[in-house]
Amino acid sequence: MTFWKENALSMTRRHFFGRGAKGIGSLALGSMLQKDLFSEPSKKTFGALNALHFAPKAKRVIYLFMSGAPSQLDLFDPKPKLVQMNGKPMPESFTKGQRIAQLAGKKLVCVGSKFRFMKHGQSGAELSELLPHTATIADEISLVRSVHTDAINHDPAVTLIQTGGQQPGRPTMGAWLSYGLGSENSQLPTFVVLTSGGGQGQPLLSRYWGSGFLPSSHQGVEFRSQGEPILFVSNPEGVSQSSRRSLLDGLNDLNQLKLKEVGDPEIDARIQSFEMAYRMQTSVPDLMDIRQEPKKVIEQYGAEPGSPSFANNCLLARRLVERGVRFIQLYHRGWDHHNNLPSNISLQCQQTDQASAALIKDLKQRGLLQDTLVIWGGEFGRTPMNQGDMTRGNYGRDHHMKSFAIWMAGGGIKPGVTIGTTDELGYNPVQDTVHINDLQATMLHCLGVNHEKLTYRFQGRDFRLTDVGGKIIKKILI
Amino acid sequence: MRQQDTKSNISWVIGFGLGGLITLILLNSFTETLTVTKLNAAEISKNLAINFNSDIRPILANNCYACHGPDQEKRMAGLRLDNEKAAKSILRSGHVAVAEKNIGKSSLISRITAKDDAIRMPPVYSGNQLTQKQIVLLTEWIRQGANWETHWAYLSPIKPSLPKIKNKNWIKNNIDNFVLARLEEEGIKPSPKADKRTLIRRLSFDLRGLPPTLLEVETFLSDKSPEAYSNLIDQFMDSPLYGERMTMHWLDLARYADSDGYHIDHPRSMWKYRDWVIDAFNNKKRFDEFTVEQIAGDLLIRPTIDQKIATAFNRNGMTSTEGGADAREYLSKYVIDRVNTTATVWLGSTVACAECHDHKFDPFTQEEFYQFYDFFHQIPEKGLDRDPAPPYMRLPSIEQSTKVNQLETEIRDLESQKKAFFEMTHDGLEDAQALWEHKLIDRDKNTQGLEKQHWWTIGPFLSNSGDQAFHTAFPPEKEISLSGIYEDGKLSWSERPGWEDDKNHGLLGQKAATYLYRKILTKSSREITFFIGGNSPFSDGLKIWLNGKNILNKPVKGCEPAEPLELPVKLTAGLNQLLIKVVNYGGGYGFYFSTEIPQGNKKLKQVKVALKKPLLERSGAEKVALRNYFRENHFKRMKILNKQLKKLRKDKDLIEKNIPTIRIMEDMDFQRPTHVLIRGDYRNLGKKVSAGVPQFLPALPKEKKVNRLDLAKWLVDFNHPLVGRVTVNRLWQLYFGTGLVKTSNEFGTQGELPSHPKLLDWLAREFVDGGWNVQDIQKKILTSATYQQSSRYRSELLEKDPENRLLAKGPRLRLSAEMIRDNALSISGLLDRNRATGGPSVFPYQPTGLWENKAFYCRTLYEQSQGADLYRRSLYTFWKRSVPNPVLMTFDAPDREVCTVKRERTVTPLQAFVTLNEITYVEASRVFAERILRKAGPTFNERIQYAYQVALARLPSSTEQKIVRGTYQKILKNYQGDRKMALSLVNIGQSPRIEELDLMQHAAWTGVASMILNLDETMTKE
Repeated sequence: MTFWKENALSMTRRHFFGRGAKGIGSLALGSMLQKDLFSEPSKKTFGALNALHFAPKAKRVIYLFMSGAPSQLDLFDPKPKLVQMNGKPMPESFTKGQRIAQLAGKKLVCVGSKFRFMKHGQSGAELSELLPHTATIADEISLVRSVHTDAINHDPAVTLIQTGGQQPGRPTMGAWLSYGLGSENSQLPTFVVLTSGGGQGQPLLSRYWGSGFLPSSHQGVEFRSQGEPILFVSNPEGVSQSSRRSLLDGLNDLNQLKLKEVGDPEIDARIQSFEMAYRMQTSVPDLMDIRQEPKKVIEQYGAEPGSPSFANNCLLARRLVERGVRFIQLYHRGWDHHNNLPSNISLQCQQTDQASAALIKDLKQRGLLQDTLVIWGGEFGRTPMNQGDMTRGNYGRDHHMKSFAIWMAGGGIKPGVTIGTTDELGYNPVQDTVHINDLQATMLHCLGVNHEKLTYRFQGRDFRLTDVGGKIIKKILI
Repeated sequence: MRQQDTKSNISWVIGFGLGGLITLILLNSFTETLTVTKLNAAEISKNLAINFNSDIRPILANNCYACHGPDQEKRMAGLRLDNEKAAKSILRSGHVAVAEKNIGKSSLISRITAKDDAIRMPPVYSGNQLTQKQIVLLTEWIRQGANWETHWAYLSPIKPSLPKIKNKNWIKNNIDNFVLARLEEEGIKPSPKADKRTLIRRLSFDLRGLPPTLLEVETFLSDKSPEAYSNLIDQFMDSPLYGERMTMHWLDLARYADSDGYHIDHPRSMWKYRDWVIDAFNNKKRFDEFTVEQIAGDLLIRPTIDQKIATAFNRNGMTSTEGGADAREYLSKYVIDRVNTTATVWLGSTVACAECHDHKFDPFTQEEFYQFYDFFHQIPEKGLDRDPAPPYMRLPSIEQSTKVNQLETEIRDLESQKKAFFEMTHDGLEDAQALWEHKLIDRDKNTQGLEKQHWWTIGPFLSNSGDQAFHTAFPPEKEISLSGIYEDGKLSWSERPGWEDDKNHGLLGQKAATYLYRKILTKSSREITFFIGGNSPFSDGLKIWLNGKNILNKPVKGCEPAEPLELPVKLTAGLNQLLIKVVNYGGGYGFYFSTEIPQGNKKLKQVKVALKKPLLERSGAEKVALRNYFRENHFKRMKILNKQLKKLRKDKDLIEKNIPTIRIMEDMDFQRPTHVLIRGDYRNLGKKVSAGVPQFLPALPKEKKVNRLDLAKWLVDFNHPLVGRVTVNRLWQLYFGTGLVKTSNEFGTQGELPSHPKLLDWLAREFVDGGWNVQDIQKKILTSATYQQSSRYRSELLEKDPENRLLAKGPRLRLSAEMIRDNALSISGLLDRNRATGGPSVFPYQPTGLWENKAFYCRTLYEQSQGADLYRRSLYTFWKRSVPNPVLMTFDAPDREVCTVKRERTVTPLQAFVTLNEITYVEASRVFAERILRKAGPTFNERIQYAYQVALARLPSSTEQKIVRGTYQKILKNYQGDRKMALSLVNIGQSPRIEELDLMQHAAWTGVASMILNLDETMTKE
């Protein structure tokens, strides 16, 4: 049975039992009743999948996306040999025939990290001094140092992570989850996007949270820190909430009349949509108001109510998780350090390190970490070769697709594990290689979904998030 | 897995919680038109003839082709079941999969019925499983002789005879015969005809995308002639609004957009193509010409400019300019986009799979993909070209050309005057120059003898934002103490002896301030100029103090670029202390300083170099440079001339900047070789191929080398099996929401079968044989009894045919994104329905920062349109792919990254936010209220009746009137005593408010108008 049909059945069934059969007429219930949709309550979903493929470890995902691509060599993957080779030519054996981005045709020189690495926690995870806060959650996270991708420039690389393929037109992770699993909350969208603000960095394209060929109701909804929290959520000037209520009451009555007259079930959906919008006018601003949080929590994240920041968004992500939002996508820009890497990466870490760690601790303390999957990472890595001016203490790194590092934590992920090894200069992964599609398969696995079975037929083909790939990273799973 | 027998009767779904939003999705699930497959396994009579295409191929395609299909690489056991000959041959194993009339000998049957999991097909790991009914069908098919047919869509349509029907009175044209025959077979009665008000509104949206006017409704109602309806169709089709409506649909197919799409998503100029499409529909261009011109207009004999513009169809794809990207990779992406788009639009076929491997389900090989690719691979693009990316045309209007010519003449004239003055021999001038040179040498000494000590820097002082960093007075602002240590010991002053003037120096930190300090000593006071800048004009703020006095404050405002700075200063005799604060607002930053003219100013540099030389050592060029420089800058006459020239040049630049360009197709003189890209990898070249079309489709002329023109002509060959069907199916979809083939983008074996195969073929033949006349087919559809049925739901149909595939009722569909907005604008009167079609894209209201906040380093600014352009039809809205207009996107408009054949329709609360709160809709409501108050009679009932007629082309019922009155009174009460509230509301939007109206009434009617604009009925074609 196709997912569409499963979708149809489960949705209709819920419609029947949850809301009465207004306007639908009698449907073929027989076929639906055969399905043991609700026999295993823990496995039921509200999306196209009428049941999960296996018991889920995570119910939701927070993806802390580091746009621009942070340098794994300065944060997660210490390479003493590269430090030794500092300033020396990069051996051609590594680079010959490789795809090179902006360094193409330039002299390739090794550049070691100027930052110190230390082991942290009982797990002994090696992290650089730039991440003092992440160091405190070393025993909570699973560090993967052997991720590789297929794209060497930003746009297709982000598209690949988000959609499983480099070509435009496909749904993003959040859209797949919205489609497949639906929401646990009827007041909020399933897929929420938060950006750190500011106009600097690689562009953020709405494709990165688009629904591709899935219906547009699955696309990510941006919750904004500046202006209205959701576009057009506020009443226009000169319209009070009571005046709005009067309008909606009248509208409701008139639409009900129409529904009775023509019997189009879509009218019922529209009536509901207006009511839900009305409720969201209160629930969304309330949700976005982080001033409600105790001072201690705000400080823990380093959040500052009022101005957009990554820290605020981490705190918001927790609030969204508490309200049952399925997929929360954070975007933090400014990691594209072709030049002046040491100073710029320090600043980036100052903006992200504390809040990332605080999020994990906060989730854990509230008992939410066990069923929330948190992923931290960018779209690719950075070269062991220098780019731009290289002086004592200053250097830069180009795009690198062959290896980079991400970390995952929470629902379904084994805490305190480091997997993946790269070669001595950090160019290629040599053990436990992880492709982007593998990451996606693993994420779906944690959510109780077999990545090969969450499909959507478009133009005659059954598409899936993991395209034609996807191997579960077993070593990091509980 | 997809099983054809799981019939679903559900056409739509209201998903609470799906997306957390109420979602209404038109489901993909209704596949049902077959007679055989509706029966249970037990019911399949042995006498019943099995149809290969409808009964057997779907089972094979869905369950077997992945391993036993066209893809050579994935084929197992050497068996292919997509090809009759192969399926019936002896396999390597000695077995025969399909032995005609011999069930026992057919290994296909033994394998699908095997008890053992290891032997049974399809294998367990595939996740597929045959139903009992499918097994019976396959068995029965072989027993009957395993008759094979080509996939239905790959055979040319043959005009079918009209089926017999009983209720002849219902029939209005031949379409109805096919529809009614099917209904009678099912025992379903068609719905009654819709009333005239409903019909004119339905037609108006379908043909013009706008509601009918009051006058149009009145005229139609009073026209009792039998031709009234048909005349109305003609009238609507002859309106220029028709072309705009048809273009909305075509632009989705053409993935038209006003920006590049990838990465920075630069704006591009392509709107002349949109104009071309509008004109093509309004001029009722034949579809074959429409096709040929878009695919190969440039290759026609002596092509007109318009025919070349048409080829922009294939240049609408996304392009990139991203640094670090490989041009070859993008070049291949662009060509692949053309192949996919052309195949989707004309062939209704997905060929994208064959980019990397042979198609798994349809007989489309990878080699054939690249043969098709070769047609589109011959234009001189490089891969990462910026707009206008070659090949392109400039399309000045006659006015623009005339003006540019005129300006050029004037410029030439002034320049020759200048030249004459430069070259004039005149003793007085030469003496004056000598004097000037002496002076200049003296003045140049102004910066000589300055003792500029080296720089000191301290920073970055971090902050949360650039603004905050700018306004915070960090310690160096208060006191300069070069031994000071700040920020918990992290920051201290560093000496920068290596920092040369007139060079860029990088600074560290983001959202931070860095201070620079230097001492400048001079013996006597003097005036000089500082040339100062950050290295990024977008992101650096500056504050400057000279001798403790603040002489400059220049923060960065939003994303506005800042001009480089020339600052005249007065130095005092002795020690001068210069302190500069550079503030970063994000991204990288840096610093530049010079007291001399920057390197960049070459002209003045040359003069200075020449000046330093003794007269005799100066070269000829240097002499000329000096002479020209002197004469240019020291005579009033020259100043006036230069001023005039500057203005003329500025005028000319401005006009030229506004001359639209358009990217077109134009083949290079030489042939660019095309190779199969192995696994789709642009670096992995396989076999060299030349242009061609897939073998399973009709052949191209063999005698010559073929190009795009041959391809275009091939598409519109009267015997082409796909193009006619695909096109009429889309027209059907335009009116009924769903095509006769539901998968309007997929006519291959993985697509769904047509609900009315004969009707589809009949329409296709009428279309092609009748001269590819789009309007004729549209008129046939619109004049059919089928189309004119009432769209009310009938409870017995909800059960039997909830998706209305049997067409026992008329279509009731929510309007498209563009139409919803245009409808509100039209009802209010804000839309100018008589405005000439065409023109550049417009920028309607949009919340601030939407583009800027996500752009690449702030580099895209949204400049909102003014006046009538704010209320232009939505098809003219600037379509920025990376940040599409939220008002349209919320109602399912696509981002146009790729070709879209069919939009989904969803219902979400976000839509309610748009139509209740977005400024266009609020303004439309208050202007609609003005219209009601001014145009309708003074009583409430007159007003509400007027409003309903304008918005819905009908009168309100008494119940409706009562509800509206109640709402009006409640809203009115809300405003009473609160003039301020009321004033805020009625002043929303740029259009002037009519102040004579009673304020309270106006505000309350604005509420009512908004309610009417938000009615389900208002947003729906009934």
